[in-house]
This record gives sequence, C-alpha cells and structure tokens, in this order.
Amino acid sequence: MEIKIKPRIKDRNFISGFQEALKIIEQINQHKDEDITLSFDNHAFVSPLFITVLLIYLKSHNLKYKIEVGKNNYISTIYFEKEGLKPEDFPLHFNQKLSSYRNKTYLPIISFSTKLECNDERNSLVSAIETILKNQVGLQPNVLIGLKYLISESVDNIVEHSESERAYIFAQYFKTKMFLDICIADNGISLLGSYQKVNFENISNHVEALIAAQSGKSTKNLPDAENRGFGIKTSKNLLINGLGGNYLMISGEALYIKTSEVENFVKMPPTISWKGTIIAMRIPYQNTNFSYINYVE
Amino acid sequence: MKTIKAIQVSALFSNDLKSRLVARNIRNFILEKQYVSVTIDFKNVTFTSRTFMDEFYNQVVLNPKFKTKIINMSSDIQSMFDAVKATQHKSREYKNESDHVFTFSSVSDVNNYLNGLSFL
Repeated sequence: MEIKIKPRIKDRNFISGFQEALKIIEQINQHKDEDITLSFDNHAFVSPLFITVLLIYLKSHNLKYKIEVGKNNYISTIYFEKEGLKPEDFPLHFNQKLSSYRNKTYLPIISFSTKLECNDERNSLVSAIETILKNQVGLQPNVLIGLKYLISESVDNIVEHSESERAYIFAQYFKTKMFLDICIADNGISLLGSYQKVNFENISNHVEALIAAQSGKSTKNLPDAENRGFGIKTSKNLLINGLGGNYLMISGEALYIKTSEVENFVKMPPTISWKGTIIAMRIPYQNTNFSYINYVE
Repeated sequence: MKTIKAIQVSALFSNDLKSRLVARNIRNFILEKQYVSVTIDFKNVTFTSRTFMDEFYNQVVLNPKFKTKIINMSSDIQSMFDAVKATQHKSREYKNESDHVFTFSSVSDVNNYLNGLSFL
C-alpha cells in the first residue's frame, strides 16, 4: 500500500506537524497488515514534530515500511529513511559530519545510545549538537544556557527512566520567525511503564502517568524525601514563562500540551499510541533579558 | 585515609555537568581514591543541570563516607545548588488535573480540538 505524504504544515503553528502526522498514522492504521510505502511528495515540507511523531509510531508498532523520497532531498538529508544519523557509523569523524550542517537551518535526526557506559560519548554528542545549534542560529549565551538545560534534562530522563536502547533528537530553526523546534524522543517503556515498574500507586493508565510526570511525581525519590521531579517543571517554566515557547509531551496514548494559555491532557483515540515518550519544544530564541536561573524551582 | 587538596571538576569531568551519571562518577572517583576529606573546585564549570546537582548533592555532598568543601561555584551554579538544597524535603501538593483531560474517539476530533488552541 502506498501512502502519499504531502503534509500541509504551517510553520507558524507549532501543533500543525502533529496534526498532519496523525492523518498519516490514521492511513497507516488502515493498512497495518500490508507492506507500506511512505511516498514523500517532492516538495513536502516537514517539521521535527511531524517527523518524530511518525518515526516513533512506525518503530512502536514494528511496521514493515519503505520510504520513497523521489526528488525530496530533505527527507534523505535528515536521515529519516535510516531512522537517524548514528554516531557509531562515523566512529572517527562524527563531529566533522555534524559540522557539515553548520550552514543549514536544521540538524538531522540523530539517533544515539542511551547505555550508561556511553555517558561520555553522549555528553560530547549533546555538546556538539548545542554548538552547532548555537552557531546555526546565532544564539546568545543567555538563551544557549536555557537550551542546554532543556536538552540535558530531557536526555537525562530518557537515560534514567525510559529503558530505550536509543534516543533521538531532531532540530530545525525558523530564521524569520526566530524560533527553534526541537524534538527529543525514545522508544522505551513510556512514562506508565516507568511508574508501574516501581508499583507507583494510583497510576494505571497513560494519562495518569503523564499527569503524574507533569506534576513532578518521581519514581526515584529518596526514602522520606521528594527531592526529584523538578526537572520537567523547571523545563516548562523556563520555556514557557522565560522564553515564551510551547511544550508538548506524548507518552503511550496520552498527549500533554502546555502554552502560556493552556495546560491540557488529551487521551488519544484507541487505535493511536506510541511506545515511548516524545518531547517537542518550540523555543523563541530572541530574549536578551532571559536568565535561566530565574526559572529553576 | 587521604585528604586531597582539590578535585578540579572541569578538568576531570567537564565544564558542562549535564547528567546524574557525572555526579555518580565524581562520587565514585572520591570513593576509589579513598579520600575522607575533599575540596571540590567548580572553577570553569559553566553549566549544571538540575538533575546533575540533585545527584551531586545527595551522592557527594551528603555522602557519609567523606567530607566535602565546595569552592568557586559561579553565582548561577550556586543558585542551582541552593535551589536543589531547598527542595530536598519540600512536601509538594499535586493538582487535580481531571478537569484538564480531554478524551477523543477519532483523529478528526483530536485535530478539531487542537485547531481551537493557540500556539506559536
């Protein structure tokens, strides 16, 4: 079955990529038992949110799929067909490979190991990503520190909780609108799996797990303490109140949306769920008065 | 039993301290060297995540097997340290979010709902 992909993503509307991905997923679900070919239109514009939601969905359900990109070089350049650019495929010159993107407006999907023993490599990789983004976008030091916070907290949560073998990061910036979109995702046990693993009380579905995570309920608090669970809260506070951005998290069949105006949870239709967790952030990067430390809880 | 003059965090680990694992590595380094009293020097450390600092506070600063003295934290990093220290035993109240949960049975319903929200 061939599914033609020509999404109508409005770059001025953060959620638009998610909505378009849902439409594709709906078509995929109708042909789940067949070999699927995702055929990208030559001029299809895709956003990090669209691609990440689609990629994690395909991986979640072990679907047999083929990608056809035609003359759409962008889809190949972001390594969608290969499920991301992997550092181990460029053992001696990955940073050089990354630096080839320094004049682009995006970073490709980067797929990296979450193994504990790969911590040094992972930290180097994340630092390299931050440097490329800083140079691409021309980030001021105050915003760069905020970006470091947002990325490091998300990646550390994946490493600590997800039990995913790999994590994914994909970024794109929009020069005229002066914002940066970043998605960070995993294919792990989801928030619900993480809570259930430690028999957390009163959390029996993905929406409850997502609510608990946003409230800062941690599976790893020390005995008689509530020292953990501030990372996500601080990230949201920094991004929304500090930088004026948007925040979205997907886990299992649950979606969380946080903007300056709304904070809502959505239970998706029964046929739609992701194995793992996706964080998507739209980050306005022009704020000379911003100081991340003012938003740390 | 040994006392070390100072552990230079930026030289031994990184200027950017991003993960809980790095904090555990600092603890392990001190335990392996069998230091009973250490000065931990944050000179040239430009960034710490909150998760690093929480782990550092609990696994290094409060570690019963050695004593620590911390020097040269920049004002931002000191603020992060203070924030972590202040929230160790803070009992939190959790909001009831049931009024903010929306359930949908179709993709078009989800998308119609999202169309009504305002995003950047």
